[in-house]
Amino acid sequence: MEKSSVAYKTINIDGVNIFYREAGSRSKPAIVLLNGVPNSSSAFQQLMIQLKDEFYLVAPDFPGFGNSDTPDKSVYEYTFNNISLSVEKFIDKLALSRPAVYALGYGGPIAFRIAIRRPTMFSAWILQNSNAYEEGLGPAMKDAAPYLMDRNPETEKLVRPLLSLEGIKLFFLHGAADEGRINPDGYMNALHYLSRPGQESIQLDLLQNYASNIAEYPKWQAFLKTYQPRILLVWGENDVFFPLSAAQAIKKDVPSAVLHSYKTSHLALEEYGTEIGEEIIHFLNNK
Amino acid sequence: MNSKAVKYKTVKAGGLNVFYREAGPMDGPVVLLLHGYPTSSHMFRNLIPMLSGKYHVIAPDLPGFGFTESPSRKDFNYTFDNLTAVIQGFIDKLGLKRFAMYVFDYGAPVGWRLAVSNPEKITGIISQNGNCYVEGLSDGWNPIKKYWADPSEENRQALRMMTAPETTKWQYTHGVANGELVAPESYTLDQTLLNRPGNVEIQLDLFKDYAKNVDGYPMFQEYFRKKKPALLAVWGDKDPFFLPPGAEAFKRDLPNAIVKFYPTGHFALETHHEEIGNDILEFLKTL
Repeated sequence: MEKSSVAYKTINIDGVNIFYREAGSRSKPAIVLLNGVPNSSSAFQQLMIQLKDEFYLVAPDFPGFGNSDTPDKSVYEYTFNNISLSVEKFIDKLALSRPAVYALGYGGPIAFRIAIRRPTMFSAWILQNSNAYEEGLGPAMKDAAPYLMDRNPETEKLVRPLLSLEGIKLFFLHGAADEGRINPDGYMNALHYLSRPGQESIQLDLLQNYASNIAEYPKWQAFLKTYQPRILLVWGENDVFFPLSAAQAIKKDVPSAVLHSYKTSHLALEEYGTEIGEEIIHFLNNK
Repeated sequence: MNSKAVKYKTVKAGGLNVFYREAGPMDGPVVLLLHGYPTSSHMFRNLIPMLSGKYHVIAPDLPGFGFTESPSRKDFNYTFDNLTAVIQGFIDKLGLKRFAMYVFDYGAPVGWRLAVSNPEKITGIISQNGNCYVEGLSDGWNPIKKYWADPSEENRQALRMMTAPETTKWQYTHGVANGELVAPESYTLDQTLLNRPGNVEIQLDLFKDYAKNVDGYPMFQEYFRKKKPALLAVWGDKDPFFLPPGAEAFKRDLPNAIVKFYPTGHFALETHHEEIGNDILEFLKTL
């Protein structure tokens, strides 16, 4: 009876308690779902309920995010590289064998970094509003560029508002076709987590470290060109962070990629979760 | 529109901006969902998609809760009569002629008042841990009863612990066999909203006014006997506030009432929405 629900679990990875959502039966094909700002694994809650009869789904919160531990900066380095190592160990510890990956926002850099080390780790890719190309950087990322290049009190002023309610609403609402379809619980909870003591410092560190992702983009592009992985692109085309050009750039290097775009924000699942879920079922079941 | 898509709306009713979730066919039979303390229509997030295939589901947030406008105490007297007046205004504004209602916790005393005033509108009642009998009140009410007996400032302040983060989480986890099934965003969102300036005082006012609900039980029971509404009680049998005898007692006034128990706590939908949802669908078919 309870097997059909989502479970909320914790697993220790190198001394850090990693919270994750789990749904579906382990006997089904696995999908690991990765997201960072502003709402961690809660972005996937409804999607997991939709897909739980067909797949085994796990969605971790990164260290410092959501319900995972937030180790002190003196013991855990908040970089994309380090988080990718934690997530790789998480996947190994759960003994997921060649899972598909669903990468949203910060989830993309985490998945690409794992794939560079282990190119066949993921059996298929679902990329949603996550980027690997210069031309995929949207206006909000361009606004943040001075901060990524040179962190100082002046450039911090450019990005600090991203952690406020108004900034969080950029991810949820900006570009939405109908704001009345977007659940306000999502951004209220995101604000709670991002307002916790110590968060601002961690989030600003990690955002600045996004510069290291841009430096790695050529490697990820080479991976895509070389391995031609199976890719489903599901895109909120009005995203101010990683707009449709980010998806089109991937499709240029991986022509077999399937692209579906939606007139909505960065967090496309908020408004088009059901539609995206149906595309995922179709994509993963038709090899 | 996809019948499972939920709309998040606001309407001016009873003098306030009332937030509500709405889903399902607009011409379908209406099911009104009334939430409890300290949550909001958020508690119905998993139930709504189960019902919205066939039913027009409407879930408002009560004043002081969720995203409904919560005026300051000097502008709004927080009593169950006044919460009911706002929801009556909401029903009138939406032009609801006939509806089944799901009542939980605080939603019950609001729902009982609505039923007494609008018996012709009620097609049936689902009470999920929504109490109407003194034998349903547990010892958990003792600190609140103490405040009713002696409304001193000291007894009022002693109830602040009811609004603390640990208590909010406990309300969700107490009586739940597998704590891994309780979504952390539930108590996190509730606490975020309780932490709004002035909200705790509003809640203390409502704790005090709850005495009038108990005083009203005989009148509500008389309504049951006279109007004989179809009633389904779905009850978490380990609820620390509302005991199983409170569910069984409905049969005294409504011999045809159906009473079902689930091995879980106060927020039974968190762990058993599928079972409860299926029982509700069976019940709604008979109305």
